[in-house]
Amino acid sequence: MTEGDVRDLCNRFFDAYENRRVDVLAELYAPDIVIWHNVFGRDTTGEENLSKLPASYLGQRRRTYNDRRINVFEDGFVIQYQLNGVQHSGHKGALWICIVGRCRDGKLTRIDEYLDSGKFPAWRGPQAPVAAAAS
Amino acid sequence: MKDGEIRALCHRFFDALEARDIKTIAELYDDGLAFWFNMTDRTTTRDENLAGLEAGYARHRRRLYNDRIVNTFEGGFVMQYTLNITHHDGRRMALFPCIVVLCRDGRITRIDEYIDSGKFAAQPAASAPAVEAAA
Repeated sequence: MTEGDVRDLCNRFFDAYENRRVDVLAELYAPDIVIWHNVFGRDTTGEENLSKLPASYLGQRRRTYNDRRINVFEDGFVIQYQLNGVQHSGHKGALWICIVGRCRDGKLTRIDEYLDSGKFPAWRGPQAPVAAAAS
Repeated sequence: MKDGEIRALCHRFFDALEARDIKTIAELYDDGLAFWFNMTDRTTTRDENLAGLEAGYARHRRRLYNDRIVNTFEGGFVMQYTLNITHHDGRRMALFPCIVVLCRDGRITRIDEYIDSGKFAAQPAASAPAVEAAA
């Protein structure tokens, strides 16, 4: 994949997340994708990840993936971004996240996500329901 | 800087951190270094960071920077690693940070560090790397 291909894949991935397009995400995941999250410290499969997304989206009224800084390396990318969320209570919160993505033949093969779970209370706000995984 | 130069800079930096070699770290930092830490969401200067490192070393008997996964991109690198900490009382813990570094002319100009402060919850309060940052 060229640098442009990788960059395009990265943005398609985050646009799909923002638009809650689980069907598009499924197309972007390689069948053997591994997703690792620093808060939980375990690998999950694409199926596990996709199955949890619809419920996860119910946690907030809106999520936007802003201030995307993307750097591309051979067979992957690192993106640093701000996740802005609006809870159903109207509370607005933000998380600062870094994701290292690996890709092959136009699909994502691995995602490692880094964030600070200590920011979850400020993200949820006082009245919001318990939030699911940030991304 | 070439891929090999960036990779060598990365390892010199982490080897110096592990060896508590503040002099070498200072040489690797550009005068205008900016250090951002996701736990504090604050950007500090070169001098503030060096002072914090010096003070922070007293908190632990040993810190090892293991399992280094380094990917370079134009003008920098991303490194995912395991930080193995040995406390003064012999207890051990591990953190899984990710660091994104920008560099120019053989020196580090920016560091963004991502860790999960939730991992400190089960640890003694005094053991947390606190504001001097885990790196």
